[in-house]
Amino acid sequence: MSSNDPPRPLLDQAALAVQSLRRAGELGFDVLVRIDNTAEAAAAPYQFDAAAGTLHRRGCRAIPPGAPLYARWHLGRDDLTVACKRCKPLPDETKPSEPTDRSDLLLGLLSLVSQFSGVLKERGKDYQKTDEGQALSAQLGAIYRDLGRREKDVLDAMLGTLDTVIERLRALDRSLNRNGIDGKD
Amino acid sequence: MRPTSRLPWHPAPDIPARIESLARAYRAEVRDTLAPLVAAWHPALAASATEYAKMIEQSTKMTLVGHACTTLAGHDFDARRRRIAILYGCGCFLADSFIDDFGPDAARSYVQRFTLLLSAGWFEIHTERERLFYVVLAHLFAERDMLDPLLRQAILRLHAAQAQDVTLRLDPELLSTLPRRRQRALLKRNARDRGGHCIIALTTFLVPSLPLAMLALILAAGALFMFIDDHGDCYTDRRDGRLTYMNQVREPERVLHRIVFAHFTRLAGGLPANEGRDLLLGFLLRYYVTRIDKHRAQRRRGATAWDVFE
Repeated sequence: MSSNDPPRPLLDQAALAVQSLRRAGELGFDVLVRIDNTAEAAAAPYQFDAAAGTLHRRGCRAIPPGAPLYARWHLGRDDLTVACKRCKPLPDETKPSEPTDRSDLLLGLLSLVSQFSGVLKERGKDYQKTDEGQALSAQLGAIYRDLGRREKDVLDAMLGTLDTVIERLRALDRSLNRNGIDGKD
Repeated sequence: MRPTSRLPWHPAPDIPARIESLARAYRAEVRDTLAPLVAAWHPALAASATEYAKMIEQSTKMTLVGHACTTLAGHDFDARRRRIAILYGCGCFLADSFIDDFGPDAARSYVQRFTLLLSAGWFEIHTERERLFYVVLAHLFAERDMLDPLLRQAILRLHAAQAQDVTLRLDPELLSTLPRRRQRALLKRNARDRGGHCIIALTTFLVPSLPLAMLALILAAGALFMFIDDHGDCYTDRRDGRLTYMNQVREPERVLHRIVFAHFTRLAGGLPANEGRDLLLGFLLRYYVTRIDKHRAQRRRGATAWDVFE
C-alpha cells in the first residue's frame, strides 16, 4: 500500500482475512455463523401472514399458498387483534422455547477461537515478513510485551465471561433501542 | 389531471418541503459515510460518476424510508440509525447490481454465494465490487444483533424473493408453461415480496421490535414501492428480458393507479397518525409521480439502465 492510498480500517481487513482463510483451505470447520433460521421458523408454533395481516397457528388451512410468513414463538395481548378466526391462536402457557441462537453463537465463537488460534499464529508469522507487517509489528511490539504477562489470565477470563458479555451486549442493544417502544418513554 | 389528485390521502402543505430538505441533508450524509468505504475498497466505483450517483440516490432513498419507519415505530432516527440505513441502502444497491448488470452467470453466482453466506457465514470474493459489498455487510451486521429472529427471517425472505426473480428471468420456461393469469399472479407476488421483505429487513435493522399489525402495513408500503419502481423501470426491464408484473399488464399506468389507490387507502387508515406516516406516504407519493415521469420519458426516448432519478 502506498502512502497515497486511502486508509483501510483494521477490522475491515480482519473481516476479509477471515473469508480468505476458507478460500485457502485452512479451516477445520464448515460453519462460521448461521443466519438462516428457516428450519426453526418453519417449526414455530405461530405463523404471521404479513400480506393479509393475519396470525395463524402453524399448519392452519386458512393460510393462503404463497403467503409471506413470519414465524412467532410467543404471543402478546396485542397480537390477538390480528388472530385468524379459523384457528384462533392463543398464547401457549408452556412457553415454547425460542431458537437456540445464543448457544449457536457461543459454540461458534468458541470453535472459532480454538480452531483459529494455530492458523492465526502461522498467518501472523507470514504477515510479519511483509513490509507492512514489519511496520505494524514495530508499533505493536510494546503492546504485545505487556499482553504477554497476562495473556492466559485474560483469555481465561474472556472465555469464562463470554456468555455474560453476549447477554449484556444484547440487553444493551435492546435498551439503546427502547426509547419509545409501544409509546412508553 | 395529476394522477395523485384522486388519492385518499394528501400531504399537509409542509410535507413536500420537509421531504426535500431531509433528502438534501441525507444525500450529503450518505456521501460522507460511503465515500471512505468506496475509496478504500472499490475506488473504480467512485470514478464511474453515473453509477456512483445512482448508489447515492438509492442509499438516500433507503435513509428517508428508514427515517419514516423508525418514527412510525416510535423511535428517534438518530445518528446510529442513519448510518445503518445508509449502509443498508449501499448493500442493496450493490446486490442489485450483481443481479442486474453483469450477466446471467454473475447473477446465478451471486445468488449461490449469498445463500452460502446466510447458511454458513462464508462469502467468496471475486471482485473489488464484491469486496466492498462484503465490507459494507460486515459494518451493517456489526451494528445489530444479527441473530434476532425477525431480522433473520426478513433477510432470508428478501433473498428468497431475489433468487426467485433471478430464476424467473434466467429460466423463462418456468413461467411460460403457466396460463397468463397465473404468470401475472406469480410476478405480482414476487414484486410484493421483493419490496415488502426489503423494507421489513430495513425496519428490523432499525428498531428492536415491530407489532404484527405494523409489520403487515410496512410490508404493504414496501410492495407499493416495488410496483412503482418496476413501472419506472418498465422499458429497461423489457430490454433486458426481465419480466415483472408491471411490464406484463396491458395498461400499466391505470393498473398502477389502482394499486396505489388501494395501498394508500389501507396505509392511511391503518398507520398511526404521526410524522412517520406523513413522511412515508409523502415519499411514496413523490416516488409515484417521479416514476410515472420516468416511465413516460423512457417510452419517448428509449431506456437506459444508467438513467439517474432521485
